[in-house]
Amino acid sequence: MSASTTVAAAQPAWLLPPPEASFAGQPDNLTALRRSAWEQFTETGLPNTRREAWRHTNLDPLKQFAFRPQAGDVPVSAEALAPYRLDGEIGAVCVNGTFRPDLSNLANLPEGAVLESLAAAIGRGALEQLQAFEFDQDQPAEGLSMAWLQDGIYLQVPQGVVIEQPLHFYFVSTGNDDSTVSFPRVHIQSGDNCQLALVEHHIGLGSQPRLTCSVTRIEVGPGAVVEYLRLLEEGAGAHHLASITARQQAGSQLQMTGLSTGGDLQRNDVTAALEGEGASHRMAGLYLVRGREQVDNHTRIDHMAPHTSSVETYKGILDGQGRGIFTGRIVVHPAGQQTDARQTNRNLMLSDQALVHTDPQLEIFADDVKCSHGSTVGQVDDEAMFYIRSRGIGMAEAHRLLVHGFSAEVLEQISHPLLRAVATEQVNRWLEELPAP
Amino acid sequence: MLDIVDLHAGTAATAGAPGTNGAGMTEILTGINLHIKAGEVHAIMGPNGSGKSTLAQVLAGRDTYEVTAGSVTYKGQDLLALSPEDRARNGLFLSFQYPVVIPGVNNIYLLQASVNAIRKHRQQEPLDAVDFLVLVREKIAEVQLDESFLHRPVNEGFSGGEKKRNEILQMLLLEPSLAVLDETDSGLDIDALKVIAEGVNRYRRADRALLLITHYQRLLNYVEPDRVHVLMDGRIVKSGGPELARELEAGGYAPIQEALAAAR
Ligand SMILES: Nc1ncnc2c1ncn2[C@@H]1O[C@H](COP(=O)(O)OP(=O)(O)OP(=O)(O)O)[C@@H](O)[C@H]1O
Ligand SMILES: [Mg+2]
Repeated sequence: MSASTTVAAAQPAWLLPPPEASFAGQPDNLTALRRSAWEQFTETGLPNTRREAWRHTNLDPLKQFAFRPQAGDVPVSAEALAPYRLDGEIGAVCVNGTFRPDLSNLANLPEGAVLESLAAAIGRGALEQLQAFEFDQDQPAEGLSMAWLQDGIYLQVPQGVVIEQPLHFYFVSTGNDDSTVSFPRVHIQSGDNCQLALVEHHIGLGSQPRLTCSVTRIEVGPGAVVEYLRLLEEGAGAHHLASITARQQAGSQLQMTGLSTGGDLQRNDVTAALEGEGASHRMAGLYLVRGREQVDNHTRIDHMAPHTSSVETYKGILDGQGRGIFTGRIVVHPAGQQTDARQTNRNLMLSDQALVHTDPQLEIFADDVKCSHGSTVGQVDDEAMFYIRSRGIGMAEAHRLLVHGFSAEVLEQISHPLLRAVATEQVNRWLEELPAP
Repeated sequence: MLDIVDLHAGTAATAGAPGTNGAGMTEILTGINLHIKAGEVHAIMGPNGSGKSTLAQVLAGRDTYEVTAGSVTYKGQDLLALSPEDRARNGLFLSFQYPVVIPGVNNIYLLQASVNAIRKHRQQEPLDAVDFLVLVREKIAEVQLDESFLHRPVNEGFSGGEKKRNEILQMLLLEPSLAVLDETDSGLDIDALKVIAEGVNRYRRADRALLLITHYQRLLNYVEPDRVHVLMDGRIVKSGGPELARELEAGGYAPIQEALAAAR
């Protein structure tokens, strides 16, 4: 170290610091959190591949860009979203991270439930959750999202409210020729015994380089039944770092399904903490990669109370030179007696140049538990292919049929019929472009 | 309709393995000759491992088997030059000895896709979901399979007999000109055998032919064959009328084996 003048760590060139104007009007404690998150980020930088959690995913390519937030209101027409709309949905739309009441439709929201822009929720002090933030170098999505925190979607469902219509949260990323960054954020608080089904839908319009740092928090109250579907379909140029964390109270049920098709690079950190007795959790994921795309899934399920159960099903379909990573950690805490945890990760390789890393990790600190895990990597079944072709179906269609069949196990787990339908459509869009073997 | 002349086929084997010929092949079919005319029913019987299923799969176009010599002419065209799907579209149907499980693919979806693939080849309009449902309901009743099997993944968890009924359901829907049934009668209870036999008889027509691969006389009691052939070591070693099946049922294959040995 020279004795010269450097006081603060160098600012990263690929991402500007959050503009001063972005702090205007926010509560002081939030401003302090945000400033400190940015400072710590500039000190540590992005995690490199020497860090265990980032062994297979190199973020250096991000540094070739100069990401900046899209300025001002971006024109997005309601028609652009029309193909995605679900029957009777309660739709909330953010464009490049900013809540857009003009594109949202909250008419079907039941009385008592609150669905609003996150900025508004922060403004009225509704977000104590944010205070719990601690910087973690391995979670750049969290750190950057905090440093840039502006807006997002806030949902609060009070005790006993049942929402039948699907909630549909859109995060649309657009832009001109510049590289853009956005920080979509969702906070969900569901009270005792309430029920809801929600789609968080990330859609890319355009193909310029984009970075999305996405954070989702789901609080599931005692006895609540929540279904959460996350759809990533962002197309070429998209880089997506996501952190999804859920906490479940006693007797609650949460089902989370993540579907990824399209995007240059994705990293999904998904964690569920089963804090209350008898909480049950289903975590499912489907990652479809092709070209040079990469999807890295890091999941963690914590069994922290007795009689909790989890079923985790992740499936990958990898074509071209695509890369898939699954690291699934299940931790049974000492209090997690009579835990029942099952995990599977299955991968279908459509090309011999595709690559997958699968790494199940069980850490068990209780003695009376049932835990199992299994992972497989395989190819399309020749015999099944022949059987289908022998019924007059051509090679390309037979191939699609088998690949779709492989994904069905995850799609069938989605309980809400409209959620299942929208996920199936997304898988089908991917399959339409599948080249014949 | 079908003319098989001196057909040799086998699988690629590691060089030098027993039974391997110079080209590194294990020969399974060692010179098959078989001629089937429209309207005829032929039965093939033969010991386990004699090559019956290999013949059936070669006819349907399974590429694990390589044809090393001979020819197969079907409706005047070179069958071996066609892809499996084109064989099916031209009216060849194989009922598999071991129907394949296809996880995640609904039975009705596969049925509709195959019916429409074949209709397209015949330049007919595709059937929409409603029309197809009407058709499939009629046919599934004929094989006495519950409609719930339409909505299960193809063959997944089906019992042996249910798989065979499902194969016959496919046959009835696809209306082939030549159906090869590879042990479709094996593992069936008495009632199911009757159902299958009735299905087969309903399928029969002057312009359609049938090749039944079977171990038992039972099916042939219901579906009277015009010719019965005995396949051994990859060749047809004896052919005859329906009485040959009854002889085999009574005396087994030993007399034929002995006669062959004596002739050598
Ligand atoms: N793909 C293959 N690889 C290696 N050997 C094979 C293969 N297919 C068939 N064979 C062998 O070829 C021989 C004939 O098999 P095939 O299935 O045609 O007999 P089969 O007459 O149908 O018998 P079964 O009455 O038991 O059904 C057997 O010895 C079998 O092991
Ligand atoms: Mg056989």
